[in-house]
Amino acid sequence: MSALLRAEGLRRTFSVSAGAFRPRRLLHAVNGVDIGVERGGVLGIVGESGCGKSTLARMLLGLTPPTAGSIFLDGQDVSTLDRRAVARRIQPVFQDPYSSLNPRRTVASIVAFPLEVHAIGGKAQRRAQAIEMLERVGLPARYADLTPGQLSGGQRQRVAIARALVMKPEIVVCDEPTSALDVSVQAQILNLLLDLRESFQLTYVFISHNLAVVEHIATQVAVMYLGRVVEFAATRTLFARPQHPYTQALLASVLTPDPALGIPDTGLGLAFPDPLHPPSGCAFHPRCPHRVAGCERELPALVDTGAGRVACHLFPPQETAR
Amino acid sequence: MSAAESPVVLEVRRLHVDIRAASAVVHPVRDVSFQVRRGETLCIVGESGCGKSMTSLALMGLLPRAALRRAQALDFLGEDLLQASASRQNALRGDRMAMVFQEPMTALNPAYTIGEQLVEHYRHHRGASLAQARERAVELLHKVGIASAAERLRQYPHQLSGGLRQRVMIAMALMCAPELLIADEPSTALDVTIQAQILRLLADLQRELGIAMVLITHDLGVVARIADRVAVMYAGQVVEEGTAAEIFARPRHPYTRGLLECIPVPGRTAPGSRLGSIAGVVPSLAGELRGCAFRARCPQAQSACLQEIALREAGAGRRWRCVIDEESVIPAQAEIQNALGPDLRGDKARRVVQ
Repeated sequence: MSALLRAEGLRRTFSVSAGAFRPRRLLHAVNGVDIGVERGGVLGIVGESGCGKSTLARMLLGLTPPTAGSIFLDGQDVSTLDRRAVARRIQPVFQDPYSSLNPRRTVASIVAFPLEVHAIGGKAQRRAQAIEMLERVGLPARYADLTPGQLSGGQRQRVAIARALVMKPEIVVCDEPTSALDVSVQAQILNLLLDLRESFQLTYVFISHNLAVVEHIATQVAVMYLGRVVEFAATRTLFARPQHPYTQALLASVLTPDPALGIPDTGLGLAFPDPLHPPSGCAFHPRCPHRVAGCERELPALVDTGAGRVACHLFPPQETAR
Repeated sequence: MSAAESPVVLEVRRLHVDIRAASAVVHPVRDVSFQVRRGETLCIVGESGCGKSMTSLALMGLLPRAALRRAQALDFLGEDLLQASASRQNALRGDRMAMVFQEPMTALNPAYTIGEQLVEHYRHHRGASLAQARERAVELLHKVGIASAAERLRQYPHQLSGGLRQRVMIAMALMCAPELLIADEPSTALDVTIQAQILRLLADLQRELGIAMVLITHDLGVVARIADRVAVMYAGQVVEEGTAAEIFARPRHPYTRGLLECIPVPGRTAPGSRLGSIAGVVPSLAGELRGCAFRARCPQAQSACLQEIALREAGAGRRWRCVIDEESVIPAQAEIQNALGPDLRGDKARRVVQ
């Protein structure tokens, strides 16, 4: 099976200041990630803040160069391809439509800007294309000459989506696209993303901390914890049969609107570990309710269990399968 | 529920907040009434701009200078807050009534240690010695589940994680054993696993200490799991009120119904299916309101919606503001969409922004 977008052994390390006269420390934001998404699929990436999901998104977009590892687009290593050619095929939608749009430009010029950068068409043609795309995402032409300040949050996110799609990309990387929006607006944007996926045959990488939203939109889900993928499976499998204790805790924390149920006890302990000092072995072991001997020493490998891939000592690699 | 007979801690009748802006008077809270009893959790739920935070600030007397609070009654433990002097309100605030804010990093002072901030208002309100206040602080940090509390007292807010900071905020609010706790989006800034822990802590403490709690949130999942009663706000008004069980099983107001259909529910909504959505945008809060504020977005809007909407009541504490009385008359939005046919449904993204 060939993936349209694939990451192999992807790593990104940041050097962080620990104080004026102390040596700088290394923060492994993304620490060896192998994932892929097929054409037309929606890869959901979930995890809590600090797990590296946004850094991963920025690497897939080419905005942050990886420290190690490679990204393959349609089988070709993107580091060997022209930066602009890759940008045409992978476009972003970010979380906060209040800061990702230039407040001094009109909506039409914001959407036409990628075309301008890539020198596609003349000025009038670019504007026409932008307006066409705005209409496609649900903003009538009369919005074209407004500035972002005159729009609501949901309308701004539509502008951001139009800007991503005006280049006719194959892949859209959405980093928390609905997190800043109200629930009724979130539903509109999710419906729109699902519509657009069908009409433009798009592939999404969809990053979110909201598991209900990811279950709704994704075809496959990768669960990240402190820079690593701990579970990767088809959405249906992952939500029906979560295997990694962290995935189980995450799913148990989802508050479905059911007044008959109380507030769940995740049994995870108080603190999220400091990413600068990640725990040894399996990074999840200090919070894990099922930890066994060896968890604090050895890093578990991502193994295929038949229902997705899991990195946990409860699922030892099967020697016979090799 | 025993809370139904327990004494009323807070009684709000016809609360209004007016803000005089350059061109017009903005009304973020219009005619809001509710009461909270001892040991009860009332959730105020609504989207941004519905007036839920303004309501909480009005209760605490913490409104910005430009905002004016007026009400028919604002009684806290039998005392009329409207008549209370500024110094009397200061004495109540932080002592008998306390608040937990959304973002603990901005609510805590970064220049003082946790310990200094915890003991400060306890000493102020109770005239306690530093040693007594410290002892109380350690006791409360233990209560909110913080281990090695004595050590934490010497730390600064930036040295704690978001979840721990929110625990400190809760401990601080409980220092003087308040009767009323107002929590404005207490878990929104936190990760999902931490959010569950903080809500559990709030619910446990509330039950144990018999506090009346007003929890303000936009998250219907949070509401369902923690609320005894729910008030749904839209455009400054409470459009529906009832027990959590009633609101989620039999929502009467089309807005409540619309909100519930907007959220994907694991195991209930089919993955990849269209979610319900509420067309249009929230109306302006400037000027007087005529008729139903939701009518422009309502799938069941009719000419009667232009008139003054009477509050309907069905039993104690079950109220809603809609011209439609019978719950069976309101079909689910999904059914309406099906009745409209596939063409209209496909065009929905376009209609949404009208």
